[in-house]
Amino acid sequence: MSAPPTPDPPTDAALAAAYRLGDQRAASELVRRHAGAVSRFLYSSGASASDVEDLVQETFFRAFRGLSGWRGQTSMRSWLFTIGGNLLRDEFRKSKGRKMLPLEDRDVADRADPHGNLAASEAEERVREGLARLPRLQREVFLMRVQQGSGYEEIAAALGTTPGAARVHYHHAVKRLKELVR
Amino acid sequence: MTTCTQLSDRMPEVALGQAPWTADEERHLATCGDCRAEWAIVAAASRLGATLAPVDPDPTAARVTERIRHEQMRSQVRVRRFALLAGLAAAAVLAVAVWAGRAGRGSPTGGPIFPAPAPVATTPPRGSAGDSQVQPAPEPNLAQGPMPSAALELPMPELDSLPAEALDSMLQALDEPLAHVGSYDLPPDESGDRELEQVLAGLEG
Repeated sequence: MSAPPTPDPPTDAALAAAYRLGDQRAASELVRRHAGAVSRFLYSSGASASDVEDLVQETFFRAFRGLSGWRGQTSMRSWLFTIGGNLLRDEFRKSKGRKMLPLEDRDVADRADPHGNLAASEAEERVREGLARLPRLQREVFLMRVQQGSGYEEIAAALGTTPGAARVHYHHAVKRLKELVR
Repeated sequence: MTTCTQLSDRMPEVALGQAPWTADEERHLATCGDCRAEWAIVAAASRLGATLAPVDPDPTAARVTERIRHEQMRSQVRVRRFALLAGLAAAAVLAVAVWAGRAGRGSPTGGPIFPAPAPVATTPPRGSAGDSQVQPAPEPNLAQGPMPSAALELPMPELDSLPAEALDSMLQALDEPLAHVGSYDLPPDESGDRELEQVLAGLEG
């Protein structure tokens, strides 16, 4: 006698609908699924490690508050990245252009890993600093592609551009990063 | 033979561990410095933030939903407060409009809405009939509509409430400084009359 088949996990759209009906567990599940990726996106986009948790919370706050605005034309993760990108832009404006990439973030990985097995490489930090200097659209296209593996169609839908333009932005980003990281 | 563009398109999925390099791609990578530089960037970027402390989903979701609930409550309070203020403002406007309408009907000639001030109690000249009596202000004609409260309050209630004796006493006290004025018999000024007679006599010849 075989065990009953495990039901498929609910989709993001189903969780969003459940949350809108008051299901708190649906909200927790959405945070569990996407918070890590959103954290990395925000950190890679220039947020300091100490601000990431607050920014993630603010991103989900804006997302859940405006959940009716997510029509499912893009993945929830891409939508969250878009909200996170807008949030970072707002924070950057509030700080009047103050650079959001403090030097002390260089040793975040060392603190997180006291044995030093996963020390942040110099190459990663240079890439991060280079990303902070890219135009927003280039940076977001690049990160959605290399951190999420998103296709150009999905990136284009999330960022309000065309797949062809997204591809061009990606290659411009790579070219610029090569110059900055060299 | 893999081209640089094809290799570039494959880099994200290999960096994310979703697929391995093919032998042909590895050969290209080994011989193309430009692609190796790009691969180093893509691989590093895909690892960025991997060591960040994970976000605890339950407390984060709880804080987020609590904030949203709090914000919705504040929004409802704001809406109710606005509705209350709007209602009060509308009521005030309505009251003013009703009052103005009634007052307008009370002055069909288009004269002033407010009636002329009611006569105030005055001391009549000595010797007049109403020597010791105060003329009360006329009662407001309610048929003509409401009157402003200032007009309705005349005469002053304090005087009305005084007993007749106290009122007489007060009036006498007020009259006293003037009592001797009447005793002054001013000398008749006849100089004017004489001049007039002289002028008339001159005219008559």
